[in-house]
Amino acid sequence: MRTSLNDIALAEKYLLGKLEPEETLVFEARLLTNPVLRWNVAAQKKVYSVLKLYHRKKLKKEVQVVHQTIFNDAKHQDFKQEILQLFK
Amino acid sequence: MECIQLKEGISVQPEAAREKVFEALYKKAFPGVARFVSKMNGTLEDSSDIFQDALVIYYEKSQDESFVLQTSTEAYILGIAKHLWIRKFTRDRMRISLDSTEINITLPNDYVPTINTNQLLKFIEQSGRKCMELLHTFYYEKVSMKEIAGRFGFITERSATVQKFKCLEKVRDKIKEKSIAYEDFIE
Repeated sequence: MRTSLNDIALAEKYLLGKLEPEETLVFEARLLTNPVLRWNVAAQKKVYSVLKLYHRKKLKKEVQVVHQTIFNDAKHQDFKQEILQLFK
Repeated sequence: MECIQLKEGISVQPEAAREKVFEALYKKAFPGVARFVSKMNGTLEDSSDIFQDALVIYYEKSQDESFVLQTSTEAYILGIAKHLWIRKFTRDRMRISLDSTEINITLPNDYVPTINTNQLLKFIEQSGRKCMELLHTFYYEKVSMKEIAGRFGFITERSATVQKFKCLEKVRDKIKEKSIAYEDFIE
C-alpha cells in the first residue's frame, strides 16, 4: 500500500488503542512534529463518529419500518388498539 | 484521546434477523413506554419517537460484550425511554421516579449528534455513498473481507482491504474539505 494508506492503517490502530506501547510513542512523536498528520488523524477520528451516526440512522430506519408494519398490518390489530387506547 | 468504540468480533445479526428482533421488542416493550409517555401527557407520536431511539440505544448496548442485562428487556428499554424523556423535557425530571436499576442506565453521550457531525454526514451521504456503505459493512455488519470483496465486486480480499483504506482516506478528505478550522473537530 502507498504510504498515505499505511498511515491511515496506523492511525486506525492508534485511535482504537491497538498499537504496542512503543509504537504509540513513535506515532505520538510524529503527531507532535507533523501538523498535517495531526490534522489527518483528527479528521479520521471524525470519520468514525460520522460512521457511527450513519449506523444509528440506518438502525432507526429499520425500526421505523417495523413500526409501520405493526401499525398497518391487520395481523397486529389488537396490539395497535391497545396502544391507541392509551392516548384517548 | 477518547476511545472510539468500534466493536470487533461480536456477532451481528443480518438485517432480516434484526427485523424479527425489533418486531418482538416492539410487542414486548412498546406498551410500557407508551403508558409512560401517556402519563407524561405525551402523544402517540412522542411515544413512538422516544421508543425508537430507546430501541436503537438498547440494541447498540446489547452488542457490547460487557453488557449485562440486570432486569427484563422491557424494563430496561423503559428505563432508557425515561432517560430520553428527561433529556428532552428537563422540566419533568421531578415527576419521574427512577428505580435503582433505572438510575444506573446511561445514554451514550454522543447519541445526540452535534450539528457539525450531522452536516458532515449529509454531505458525505451525497458524495461518498459507496464508500460509506463499504465502511459500514466492514465496521458494523462485521462482514469478512472475503465477503465484502464479493459484495462490492473486488477480485481479491487484498484489493477489498486496500479499498477500505482508500475509502477511509476519501471520507477523511471530504471531512477536511468541509472543515475550515481544526476547531471543527473538537466537540
